[in-house]
Amino acid sequence: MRMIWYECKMDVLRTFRYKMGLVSDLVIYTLLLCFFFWSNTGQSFQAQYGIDNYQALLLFGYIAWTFSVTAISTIASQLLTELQRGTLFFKLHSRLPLQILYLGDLLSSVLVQTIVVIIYSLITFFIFHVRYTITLPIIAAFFISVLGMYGIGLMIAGLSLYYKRIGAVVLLVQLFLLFVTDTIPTSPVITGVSRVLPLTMCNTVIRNSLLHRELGTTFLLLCVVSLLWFLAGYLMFDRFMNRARKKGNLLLY
Amino acid sequence: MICVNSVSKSFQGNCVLNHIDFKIPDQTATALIGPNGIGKTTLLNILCGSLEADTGEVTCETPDFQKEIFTVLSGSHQLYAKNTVKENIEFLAVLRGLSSSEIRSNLEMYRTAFPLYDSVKSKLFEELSTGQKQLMILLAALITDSRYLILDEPTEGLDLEHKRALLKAVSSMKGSRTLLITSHDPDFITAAAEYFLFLKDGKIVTEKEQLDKNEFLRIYESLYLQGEQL
Repeated sequence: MRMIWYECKMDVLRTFRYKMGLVSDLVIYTLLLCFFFWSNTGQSFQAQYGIDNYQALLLFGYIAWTFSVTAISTIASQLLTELQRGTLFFKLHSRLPLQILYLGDLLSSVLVQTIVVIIYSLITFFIFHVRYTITLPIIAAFFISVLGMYGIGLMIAGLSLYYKRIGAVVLLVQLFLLFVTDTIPTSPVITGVSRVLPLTMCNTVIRNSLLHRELGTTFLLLCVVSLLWFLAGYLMFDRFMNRARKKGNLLLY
Repeated sequence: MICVNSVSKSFQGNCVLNHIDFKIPDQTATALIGPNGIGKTTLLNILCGSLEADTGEVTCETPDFQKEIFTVLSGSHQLYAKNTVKENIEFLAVLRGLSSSEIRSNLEMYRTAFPLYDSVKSKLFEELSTGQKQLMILLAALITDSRYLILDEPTEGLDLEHKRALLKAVSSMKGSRTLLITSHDPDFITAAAEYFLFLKDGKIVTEKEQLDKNEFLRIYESLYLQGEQL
């Protein structure tokens, strides 16, 4: 736990010292959300869920997407940066497997994104008068789905060892998630298929919670789906690392 | 003792290491010598476990010895630029499983050998000069209690003053750590190392003990320069 905590602390300190990354995240996420509200995106949630306050559904889906995007992109970018800088060697020799150690970076990114989320939520509160209440199951769903999405992030990070320039792929995955996971309204068929993703299940749990519906089964499914993605990511990352050791992809580039 | 047994490595059919065998005695400084592109870094990467050999193995009586290796690569950007020197050193020690009190006591122990630490500990790593960075990385290796230390071109980009400070630090480690050093600097390497391994055509072709600079240059010239004089 101490190693994960230090990993998190180092990354938080770096993030605040760089500043620009935090500011650009805030500007981009806020602008995109404002665009959705101005264009009445999510209005079809009204009919779908029988609720007037569709904006709250959209906002919470958007928050879940923000955290998920962070979870899938953090590790790949961190791994590549460390490979370029030459610090990966130290982590390869640490007492913890990389997949577990990088949970510290995930925690740091989630903490930083929480600040971004609080700020853009306040902005939407004052500009668009979105009313909402945050419940414990919603917060739990955010964190459980983040762990599941981290599994996908580990797979992408493993791939990044072979195809170093994967920024475009990560962007595509982020957009794909926005459009297929019911974050913004999509067809029931697509949502049905994408229920294998933690983010879609997270959105379902959040909406059931906001509508005061029973959570048991959906929450359990979210836990199972997230656990499976985490395990799959963990194992795939191990395989990618072992292959990289054979092929020399861990050498500096 | 680290034993390299019949290790081979090829990249896209190009044989870089060819059934190489040698031993690194404990608590000594061993130099791995050869011109650029001859496979030194490949060998160092195999030793520290970030590259897998095609055949052969690296063994040691210490179980999981690769977790005890501290690698200092050539160049000077190997720590976190936007973290302070103190944060970096503490972090590396925590990664090795050291407690806060162990870190504190190690810092006390080595502070006198590295007087620079006190004046730069609160600075961001990026604010340090190349030589200062190299010295602080060496200090980190000591603080983390690493038994094995791999230094890849440690004098690269250093001025005379920092080269001397580095040599002093490396000399102070002899007898307590096992060092493997690569360097193209004859003055530094002959002063720092006790054993010399000359790598050529994927093999160790010459092993020597305690060379002075002239002997070193003579061997280097005969192996790699084919009649050209240094």
